[in-house]
Amino acid sequence: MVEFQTIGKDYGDLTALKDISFSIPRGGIVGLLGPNGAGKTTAMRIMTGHMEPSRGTVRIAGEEFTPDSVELKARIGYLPESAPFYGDMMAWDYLMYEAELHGIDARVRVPEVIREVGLESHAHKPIRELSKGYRQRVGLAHTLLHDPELLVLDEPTSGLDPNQIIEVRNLIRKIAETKTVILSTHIMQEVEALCSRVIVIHRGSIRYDGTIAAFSPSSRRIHLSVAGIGFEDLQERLKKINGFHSIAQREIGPDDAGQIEGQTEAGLLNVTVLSDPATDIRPDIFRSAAGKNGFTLYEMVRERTSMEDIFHELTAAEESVNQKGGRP
Amino acid sequence: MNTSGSARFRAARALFRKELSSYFQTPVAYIVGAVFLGATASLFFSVFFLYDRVEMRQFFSTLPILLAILMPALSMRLIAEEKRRGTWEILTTLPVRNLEIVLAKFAAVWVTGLFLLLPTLLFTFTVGTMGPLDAGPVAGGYLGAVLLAAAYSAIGLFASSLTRNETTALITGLVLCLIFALLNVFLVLIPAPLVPLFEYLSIGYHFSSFSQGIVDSRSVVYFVSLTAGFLMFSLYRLNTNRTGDAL
Repeated sequence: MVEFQTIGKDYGDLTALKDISFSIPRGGIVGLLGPNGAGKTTAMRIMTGHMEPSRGTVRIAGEEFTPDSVELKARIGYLPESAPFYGDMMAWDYLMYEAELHGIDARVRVPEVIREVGLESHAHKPIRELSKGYRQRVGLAHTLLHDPELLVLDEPTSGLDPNQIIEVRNLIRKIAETKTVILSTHIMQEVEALCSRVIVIHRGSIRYDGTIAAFSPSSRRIHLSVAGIGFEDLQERLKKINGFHSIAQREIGPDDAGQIEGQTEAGLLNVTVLSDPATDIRPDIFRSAAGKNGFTLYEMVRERTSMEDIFHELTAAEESVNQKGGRP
Repeated sequence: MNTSGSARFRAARALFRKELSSYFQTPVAYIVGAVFLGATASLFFSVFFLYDRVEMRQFFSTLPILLAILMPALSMRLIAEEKRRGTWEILTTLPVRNLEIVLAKFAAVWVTGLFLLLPTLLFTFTVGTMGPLDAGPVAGGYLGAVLLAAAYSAIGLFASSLTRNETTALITGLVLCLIFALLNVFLVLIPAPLVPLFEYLSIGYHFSSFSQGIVDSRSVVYFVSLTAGFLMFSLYRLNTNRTGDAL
């Protein structure tokens, strides 16, 4: 459905995309994952014809795609980040205008699509008065209106509250039953919840392209909260465990809140242990705590989100190199 | 997939209707229109009784300057606002060609400008009640005004395509319009061999013949070319500004 052939994009001196290539077949949800400024939005703007690449060729449905390919644009639905629409227009009027522009039967299709995205109660309000969640629904209605084969959604759930996120994700899943969806996000959980395939973009290049299941991390993270032992002693003990890689002290818990509670409890030593992914070292840690001259183990959690690992691994190595060798 | 000529026309028409209604759904057109009407009326009638002649020439002679302010004020938002608000990103990914965008937006601001000229017909009736008014110069003057508004709309659209800042677009448009309007005033500063060229390029020169009731085909060609020229500049600007660099 979408093919990038060595697409490069420069903004003046800055290279936003470094000649990336990928091919996305029809159907399913593909996630473009990367930190802010990685090049996701640039890739999407090129994919939808808002921007011309500096190098390379884009193919949509097998045809070469340029910003003048009006016929191909009619087969794409694009929702830019933050869903920018004409604030003083009512959602209804806006969709009527777009339907007219697409040359489809507005009187039939607009009420239909408004029902589809659950916008009935807010269709007759100016878009600027809508909450972020409803504005996002206007955006989804806009992408679905002309029944496109390909949907390109830039950070579709950013800025939404948890309930709205769940609703929008359900909508996207429903849409993907019949269409190809490409969405961008910097949230790992989103990719895990929605995508069959993930393309990790970092600093303008592709770092990983495949299914989430196929990704095997080179280490796994275990978070510990212990008492009755110092950091050095703990390190010495854990070093003896087969499969142990490294240990680091941590001030706060992992970023996805809720995994570890009470992480700042006074008197507890909080550490993160990296281990071999093939070996589960948790029983050994427990035995070490319960054994002779043991320590008190308050918490032990193995990090569930493998996407965190993908990310750390693909991005951290380069960053540490940059930090060391960056400035003279 | 419908890709016939009528489908293309439909996209431009949808855009034109949306643009036109956005002028009249917001207070912009009414405020600018009221100011314009007040300015034309006070400029016209303050000297009308001094001349003591039943004619509209004084009114028409103010138009190249007044419309040079009115039209950029209307057109400044056309593209700059879309870029600033981010709606440009949606518009450029809809199945509309840049040519259609240019034509639809130009037509919308032109028609709006003509709407705002309509109330000045009242002056004609007022003057007509005071004595016999020669219809020729009035008809010629309004034809000139229609062409003038078109040229200024195209210049204003071009100015709006250069930036994402509406104030910058307004000032750029204003300056460009005034340069064309006042070129004939500064002819004394120009070397003699170049005078005919600059005179031909000036709006004032062509417009004054209309308000004398003379419809010179060369002047019609001039206004049409000026309009077409700036529409092409706008199109060129949009076609070459897809790189996503600043602005």
